[in-house]
Amino acid sequence: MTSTAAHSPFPSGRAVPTPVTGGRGGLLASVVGVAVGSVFFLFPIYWMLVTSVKPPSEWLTSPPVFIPDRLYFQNYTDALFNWGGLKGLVDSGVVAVSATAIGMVLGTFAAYSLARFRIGGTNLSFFILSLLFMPPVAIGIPMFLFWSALGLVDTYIALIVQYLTFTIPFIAWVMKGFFEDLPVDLEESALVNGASRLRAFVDIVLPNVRPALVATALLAFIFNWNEFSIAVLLSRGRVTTLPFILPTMMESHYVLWGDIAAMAAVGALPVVIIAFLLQRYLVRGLSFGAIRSE
Amino acid sequence: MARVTLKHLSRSFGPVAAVRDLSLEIPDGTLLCLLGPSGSGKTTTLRLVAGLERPDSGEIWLDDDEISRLEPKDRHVGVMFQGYALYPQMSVRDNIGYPLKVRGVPRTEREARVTEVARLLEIDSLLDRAVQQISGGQQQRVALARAIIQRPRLFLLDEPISNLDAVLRSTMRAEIRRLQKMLGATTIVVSHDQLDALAMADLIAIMKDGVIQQLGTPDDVYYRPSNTFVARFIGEPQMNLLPASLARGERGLGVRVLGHWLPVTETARTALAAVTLPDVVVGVRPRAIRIHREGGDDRIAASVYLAAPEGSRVIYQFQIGGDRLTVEAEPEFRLNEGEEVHLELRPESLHFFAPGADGGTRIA
Ligand SMILES: Nc1ncnc2c1ncn2[C@@H]1O[C@H](COP(=O)(O)OP(=O)(O)O)[C@@H](O)[C@H]1O
Ligand SMILES: [Mg+2]
Repeated sequence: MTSTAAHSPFPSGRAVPTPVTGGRGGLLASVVGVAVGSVFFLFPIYWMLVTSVKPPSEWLTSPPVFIPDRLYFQNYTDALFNWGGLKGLVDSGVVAVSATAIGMVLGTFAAYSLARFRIGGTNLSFFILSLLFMPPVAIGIPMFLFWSALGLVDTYIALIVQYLTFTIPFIAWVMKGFFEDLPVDLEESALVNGASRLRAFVDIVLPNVRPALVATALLAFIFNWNEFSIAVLLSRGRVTTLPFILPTMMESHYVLWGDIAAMAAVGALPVVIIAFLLQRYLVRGLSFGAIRSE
Repeated sequence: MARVTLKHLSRSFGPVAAVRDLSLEIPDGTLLCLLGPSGSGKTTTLRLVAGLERPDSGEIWLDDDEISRLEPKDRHVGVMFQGYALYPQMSVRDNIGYPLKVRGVPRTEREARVTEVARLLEIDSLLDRAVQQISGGQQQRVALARAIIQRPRLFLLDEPISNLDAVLRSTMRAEIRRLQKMLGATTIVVSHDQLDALAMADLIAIMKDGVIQQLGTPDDVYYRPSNTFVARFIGEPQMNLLPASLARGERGLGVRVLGHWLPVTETARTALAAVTLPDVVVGVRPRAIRIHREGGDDRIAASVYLAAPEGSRVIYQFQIGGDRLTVEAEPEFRLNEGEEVHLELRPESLHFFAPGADGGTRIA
């Protein structure tokens, strides 16, 4: 879909900052900068991956083993089958995918009506933004009491609905900005050309915000996939998402670092794969935001 | 096609009355130009007719149907938006065909009609291009094609010429005029440029602050402006408006203007005789003033303050006592700054308005 770039109504190519290239000295400085930055950000990931394929004897040695001389995959089978990693993947997937999908539908419509019809004046949209500032622990006790009164603690439904309380505001808030940037003329022209509101939305609005939708959905998915505080409060061992499982693995007297690293790698993998598949949209969707805030 | 009637339309945005008690009838097949400065309510009027804006009060009729409460899609009007509003994700072909697609016209008929209007507007070679890859003038034609393809009862064009460069402007004026006459389409064109209006329109409605100042043919508004606002807005350079007073001379009732007594026509005299106040405003178009090297009866001595040659004409500013007068002259007639001449303001070229800052109404 390379054509979306050319078809985008947004000004393109302005947001990309020109790299500062101050001759040879500048180049050297930026190479060193990038190298230091890469080590700083990538080393923890490397350490996770390398630990996940080390045998137990190499987990905590001093000096540490940077490059193991053979790959030890037992950690992964342990993580997936002994520690419930497989079920964790399924539970995380069900919860994160459901919350993201429902959130995208409701949040996108909410965003559109906030942007175009100024539903609730400025107060409602500010209220929606304020929901995102609320720390989950602040509502921990009432939330737990609420779900236990319904008898739904430790169920998919509880987690999904609970995740929607921040997923919908997040999506609504981000997409509202994109809708506001889209010229109203386009939809109005569809209306006079014979389209209903819904038809104009589907035919004209959605195709023009597709990269933004994809980027927003991915961010929402990552938040849901990584969510920890609510998962801990609402889980009793039946619905176990990966962020819930990880800390339980550190409770034994002998911490199995290789198994934990393997579990973490398993948890990171889906996000990496999705981001890789969607990177084309992602860069464009995220750079819309950059243009807007100029 | 249809006759359009607007009855007492009003629309406010908070404290701003964008359109005030506007009534208007546009006969079938007529091109009406809504002309006025920015912010005078032209776009709002157009949007009310299109159904994109709800009137606070008043009615809109197409022939014998009241359409004031209909959804935009049920009004069957073709609109060309000021920025063209082409759909960025669609090709030229899909843009033009969209109104038919939405209304469920089958593909083969759609294709045929897209080809037909594209040929009419000479954009048939662009059909498979993306709308960003064509020039502004071509985009305008695409927008026009999309507005006419559904054979609407009424066309609404918001500032169709304004985004074009000078060369394209006069071509497009002629093109819109040609198309409108060929289709026999009742059309409302919005413009802030009086040249658009004079060149295209059968009828011109001049708006200011949401109120129509005058509705008439191009000749009406040019030769018989209904107040000083219209007098100033139509015509370039602007009409000279001079403070004057009624005064009886040897030859009967006339006006004192620029320190001189001038005679007036018989019709003007009758109208002026009915005026109670002595003060009036005299208007005279820069083209209507004659320049003479010799003095004579009813000629006013003046010196050249500024000479601006513009190729096909020269625009002079003359100094007469404390007043300035703009005169448009043939290029052959060259005067130097400071030169002394005599100006003739012929009785039949004078307009008379009641005094008042802006909008003093016409007396004669
Ligand atoms: N949606 C709106 N909200 C608030 N004020 C508006 C809106 N649309 C138009 N106006 C105001 O109404 C007046 C007329 O606007 P408009 O019809 O666009 O004028 P024109 O097209 O003649 O330039 C202006 O003062 C404008 O600021
Ligand atoms: Mg306008």
